[in-house]
Amino acid sequence: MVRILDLFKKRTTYFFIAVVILACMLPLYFKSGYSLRLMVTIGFSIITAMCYNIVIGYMGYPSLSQSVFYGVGGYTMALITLRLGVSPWIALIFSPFIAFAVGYLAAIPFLKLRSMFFAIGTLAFTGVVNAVLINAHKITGAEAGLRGIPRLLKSDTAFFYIEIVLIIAILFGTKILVESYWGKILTAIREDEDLAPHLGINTTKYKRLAFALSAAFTGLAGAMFISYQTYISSNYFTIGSSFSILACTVVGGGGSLIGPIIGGLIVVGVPEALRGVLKGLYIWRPSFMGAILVAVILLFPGGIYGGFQKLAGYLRKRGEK
Amino acid sequence: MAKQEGPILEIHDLCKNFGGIKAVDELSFEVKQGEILGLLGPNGSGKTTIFNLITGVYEADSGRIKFEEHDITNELSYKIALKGISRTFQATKLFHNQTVTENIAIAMIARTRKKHASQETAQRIDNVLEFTHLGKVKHALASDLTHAQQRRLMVAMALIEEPDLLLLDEITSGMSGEECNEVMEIAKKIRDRGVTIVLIEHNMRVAMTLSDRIIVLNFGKKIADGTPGEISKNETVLEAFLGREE
Repeated sequence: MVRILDLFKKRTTYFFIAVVILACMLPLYFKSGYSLRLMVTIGFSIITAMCYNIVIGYMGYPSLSQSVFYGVGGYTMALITLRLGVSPWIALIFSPFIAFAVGYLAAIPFLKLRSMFFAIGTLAFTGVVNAVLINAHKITGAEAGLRGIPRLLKSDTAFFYIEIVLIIAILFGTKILVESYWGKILTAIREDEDLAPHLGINTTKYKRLAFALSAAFTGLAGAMFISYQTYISSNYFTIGSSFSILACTVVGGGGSLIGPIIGGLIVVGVPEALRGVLKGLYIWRPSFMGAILVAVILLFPGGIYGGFQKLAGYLRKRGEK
Repeated sequence: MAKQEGPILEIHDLCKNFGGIKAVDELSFEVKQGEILGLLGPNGSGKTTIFNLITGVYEADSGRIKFEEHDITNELSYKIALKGISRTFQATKLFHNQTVTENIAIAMIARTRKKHASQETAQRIDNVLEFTHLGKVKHALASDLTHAQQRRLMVAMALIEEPDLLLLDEITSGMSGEECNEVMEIAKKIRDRGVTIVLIEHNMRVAMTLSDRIIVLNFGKKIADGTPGEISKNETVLEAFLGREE
């Protein structure tokens, strides 16, 4: 544990421990069902954004199919538990493996594309998968969905704490990845994919693996989410859902460890927290999200976390003068 | 003086067409171990296309490329790099948001397939930085370097991979006379380490001074092959560069 914490600066470590303690205390203050459900929902958004960060933030590929892998994990949980009557914990083990396989297969054609074309390709993929989910209604329940999926844990509080554990695990996992050989390879691919092969990097292999790994963890989160909801519908896994995941990562700051956490809190948390204040204006939530996304892209291309870093750098330089 | 042994690179009847245009037309030549070979020719004569064919950027329509006895025709770029061919690019290609040291470290990590911060690794990076005169800017972002420093960084990244064959594509382009001299010194030292170099140059002074042998291309075909002295007096070459006097 001490060696893992060595990856971070001392000040960052203390701040991180303080935030974790604070987060663990939240259920003691927000005891109402709504508040707790909101916190769990934000938690799932953060987890998904963190998984997506590997693809968009560290590898530089703007995928719009992340909701597909969330759905693969979710449907694995739903179908295994409902049709086979197996424990949700066993379904949870299967989910990331199936999501990994689907992610790897999707990576083969789509990662031949780049930038805008990759985004359009994955967008179309999400659309096709969503159409399949609707048309295969005998299996998937389509928009009406499937009910009665068993819960992994009984209480919302337990789900909240397991989310915290998962967020910490992904945080450390990502940090280790970024500092490893793999991390440097992903940096090379993001910065100049045409140069990387001439340095001896098999870009195809590492891109596919990173994409599938991100899909696997997203699938795990999807399985947990569906078990938490006890209900699954094709409406959860639409193009709009993929945009929400993208918004969380981009608004918070892709390519940073903390960015997706900030993004999840702002994109999902703020509108929900202001629901009571906004009242009739709440229907404008998608417009609010879109406006935030445009503003962040224009003002802080590195996301809010990137903006903070720039500001900190500027203040440090001013202080030195 | 260059080692005069067997060929390190053999190109046989290489052809590459883009649409109806023959960029490389039944080209054959050899590169001897330890020599500096200059590839000259007017714009559009197929020089960079040859580099792109050797390094797997383009697929050859026909012909063969052999490197150290192995057929590398139409191999994937990363496999060719791992076999020992490094290159620089006409347009500067770097990881612009990384520091100079990080750029070199990525190149080395890619080659060794390990991320290790051993003292030996750091020493190797420092040696290359010193060799390419980049020690003073090692913590600077690649994007903040001068043009000449960026070109030298490309060489440093190619060198850290310890290549057997180094392809330098217009490495002195956009440099002042003094900066060109500095790069020429570095190139000579690289050759003295036993690395074979093929260079594409538009700067005649650099090409003539640095090369042991020169091949001149025009319309994808070899029109001359000889020492710098022979090439400078070759009528066909003068005609290709300056045009025929009516």
